[in-house]
Amino acid sequence: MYGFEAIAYHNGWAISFIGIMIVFTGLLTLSMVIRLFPKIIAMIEGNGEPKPEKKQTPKKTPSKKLALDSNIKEAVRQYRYLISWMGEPFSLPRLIELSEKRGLSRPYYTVSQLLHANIIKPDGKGLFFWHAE
Amino acid sequence: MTLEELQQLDLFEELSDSEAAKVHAISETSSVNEGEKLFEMGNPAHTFFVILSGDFLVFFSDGTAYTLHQRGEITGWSTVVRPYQYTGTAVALTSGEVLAFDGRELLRLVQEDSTLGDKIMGKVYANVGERIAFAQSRTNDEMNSVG
Repeated sequence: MYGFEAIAYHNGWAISFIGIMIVFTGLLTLSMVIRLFPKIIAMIEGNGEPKPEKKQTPKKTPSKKLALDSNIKEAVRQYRYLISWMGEPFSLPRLIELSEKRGLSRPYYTVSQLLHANIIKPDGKGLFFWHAE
Repeated sequence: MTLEELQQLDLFEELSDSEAAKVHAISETSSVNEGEKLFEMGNPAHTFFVILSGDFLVFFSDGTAYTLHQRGEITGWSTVVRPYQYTGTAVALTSGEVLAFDGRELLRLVQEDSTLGDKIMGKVYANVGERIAFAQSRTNDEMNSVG
């Protein structure tokens, strides 16, 4: 007995199918766990509530920009995270540069909105600091 | 821009009608788009700008910056100050309008008419003085941190 007949005789198809299911189930479980990491990190950092998930821009379409919520609060959240990473006081042109690299929409306009809302303020020496609560 | 509107700008508010007319003749209103650069650091300073609307950012090689939001604020004053080379980069944070002056024409005007030149350059130097104070505070902090 050879070939497909032998495979079928020894339950090879069923074994293969089960093996594939085990692998993909494992991968799916792992991806679900990794997806939860931002929420876990946010909770560990003591915010008390997980941050809403960010939409990830697919790498193969770099021209696609993250949609900027018209609500200033969404811009505050996005830029607060960036500024906390940069440290304060921070360089405003550097903030704009990093915003562009991260695919945030309209960084120049957003920075002007944050300035007008006094969420970003100058320190009088050419750098800026975060002022919002 | 009308002559009356030009005379309402801080830089030109002391000018007489005839002086304002001379300035108006060499001015040009331009629209700028969000993210557009007005000038870049290190380039020869050819154009002097007066902000009419919109928000602008002027930044330097060390990452420091200041912003301009008010109508009448000026930038690109290296056009009339030696060594006639831009010391920073100016970019529009929002779309807006600027009043642009050819640097050579403006310099010629202030040199030919001493009264007009005194009035304009007085305002320009006051602006420069503020920026120098800003730059000095940066330098002092750097020196203190090293020393």
